[in-house]
Order: sequence, then C-alpha cells, then structure tokens
Amino acid sequence: MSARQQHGWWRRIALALALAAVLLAATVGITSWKEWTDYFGLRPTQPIPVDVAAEAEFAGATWQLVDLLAGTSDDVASIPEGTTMLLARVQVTPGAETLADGTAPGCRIWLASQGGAHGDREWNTAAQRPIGYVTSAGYEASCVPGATAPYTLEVPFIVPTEPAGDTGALSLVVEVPEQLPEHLRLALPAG
Amino acid sequence: MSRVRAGLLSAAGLAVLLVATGFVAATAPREADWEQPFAIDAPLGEPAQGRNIAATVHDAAIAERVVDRRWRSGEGSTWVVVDASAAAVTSEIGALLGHAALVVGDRVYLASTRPSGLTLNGASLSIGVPTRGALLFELPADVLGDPAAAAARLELAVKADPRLDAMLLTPIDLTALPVLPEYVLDDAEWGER
Repeated sequence: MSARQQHGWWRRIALALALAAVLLAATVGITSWKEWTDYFGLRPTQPIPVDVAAEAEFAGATWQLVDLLAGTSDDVASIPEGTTMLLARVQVTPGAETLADGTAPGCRIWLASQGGAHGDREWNTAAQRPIGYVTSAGYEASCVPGATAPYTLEVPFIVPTEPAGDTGALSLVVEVPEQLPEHLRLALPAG
Repeated sequence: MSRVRAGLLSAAGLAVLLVATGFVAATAPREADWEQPFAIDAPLGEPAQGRNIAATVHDAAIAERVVDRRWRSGEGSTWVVVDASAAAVTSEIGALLGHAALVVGDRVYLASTRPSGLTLNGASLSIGVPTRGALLFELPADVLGDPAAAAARLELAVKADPRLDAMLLTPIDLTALPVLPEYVLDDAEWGER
C-alpha cells in the first residue's frame, strides 16, 4: 500500500473513528454516572443542617430537638468509667397528610461528631447496652412508622468524656430510608 | 523491504510481545495481593489500633476442655483461649469484631461459635469503651506437634471479609502457652479494659 493510499484510507474511516471515540466516552460517562448516582443515592450524603432546637420539616413530619441531658460516670453509676451519657429527646410531629393516610415515617437515629480532635465519629444508640437504661415513661425509644399522633423520641448515647473542644460539633442524624441521600442533622448544644 | 525480511521482523515483534506479556503476567500483583488487609502489629499485651478497631490481646492459653454455664466441649480437641479487649475508633455503625482467626501455617481457624456463652467473637464495638472477653479456637489435638505452631498468628478485624481494611496481627507461640485442663468461659463484658 502506497503512502497516498494509506492517507486515503485514514480519511475514509475518520468519521467512523470519531464516532467510535464519542461513543466510548459517552459509554464510560453514562455508566460511571449511573453507578456513582446509585452509590451516593443510597447513602446519607446530603445533610440538611438544623440549628440547635430549631424545627425542621422532613419526610412529612416536623423534627425538633427539645431536650439534651448529659451526665458523666461520676453522676451516673451504671455507665463505664470515663464516659458521658447523653440523652437526646426529639419531638416528632407528623404532618396532617401523613397523619391522615398513616404514612408517618420510620427512621434511624445516630449521633455524629465532626471536626473534633479524633476526626469525625459516629455513635449508635446505647439503649441495648448493660447500663440499666429504660426509656422514660411517655417517650418512644425509636421512630413510630404510621404514628397517629405527635410523639417524643428519647435516645441514649455513651461517649468518652473528653476535654471541651476535643469532641467537635455534635449532631443527631435522622435518616429516613425513603429520603436518602437527604438526611437531617440536628445540631446539639456545644459543651 | 523483502517479504522474507518483513516476515522475520513480524516474528521478532510477536516474540517480544509474548515475552513482555509473560513478564507482566508473572510479576503484576494479583487480586489477592492488592486486596490484602492493612496489617498492623499488635504484640501480646500491647494496645494496637487500626482504622476502626482498637484492641489489646492480654493473654493466651491452651485448654484441654472448655465449659460454660450451658455447654461443655467434647474430647479430642485442643482449645486456644485468647483473652482480649476491643473497641471501635471512628464509627459504631456496623462495627463488630467480625473477623477473629488463628492462623497456623497454611491453616486458618475461625473463632468458635460453639460455646453458648458470650465471647468477644462478633461483639458489637463501642468507641472508647472496650468489650473484654475470650476468643476460643478449636484446633486438632495434635496441633502442638506442627512446627508452624510456634509461629501462629491471631488476626482481628472489624469486617468478616477483612480485605482492604485494617487487621491487627498478634504473633503467638502456641508451644509456649500454659496448658490448662479446663477453661471456664465467662461472658464478655462491655466497659472492661
């Protein structure tokens, strides 16, 4: 094949080559976008920050931190030495629509700290730990799916007792599976 | 270029490509290599910490029999009993002691789930609040005669599949451990260091 013939061959397939390149880029782009969207869409990646004690509309209900009790192991004999018990209470008021059709949301709640000396950390409820804790009368230990009236959640956490500032900014994370990746971050008062 | 010369060149090119392919295939890290856990030394008696696991292996012993309140092991096994405490570091969500294994030579023994009492195996971990308990490994009766028994290692990790996550490694000389006729298993305790 002469150089001129070769040149002509490249020219003839130029359009097809360009299209193949575009298709390859589009395939990689669309596949990646779909995979990453699914990945992040099923995880709590989009926080809705809520100021301390402020009300927030979320998942067909109004959420508000109404109380936070704290006691160290010096005050609460049943928790391990060197720890602090936090008792968070959150008022959940299902909206008129969810009350009417019985679709008040279920949820998962955990405690998160950001920017502390130990980096970001996450705590599960300590309700099942052997600390002799029983949910106070008139409170709920977990979200009530299909609730027909407002209620108040009470969730205990056990965290290490640390110098002020080491723990970072604490917030209560409320995750409703149907709302992911959005989730609430109810700020807790500092100190 | 003559046809013979072109053929020779093509053959030489192919040979070079084949050699290069063989070299890459022989030297490239395989899945088992690049998915290995991040190994962290955790000598007996010293605290060690990985990404989301902090643990101390306090002690180890050999027992001829293990008993708890509702269960008693049979004859014919050698039990390795490890006293350890473990905690989470950054997240309690999904944090269990999911991988506890004793490696003797090429053989991997997972912590026994036969006892009815609470062991440290599978315990849910808290941040900064260790759970202390026993890990029990049921081995063949003649394991101490295996030359590899002097260089066994304990593996601890959060996930049952420990690939690409921190794994604490404790070397244990099984032949140097005290031998107990019977070990009475106490439940693992949360908040014990």
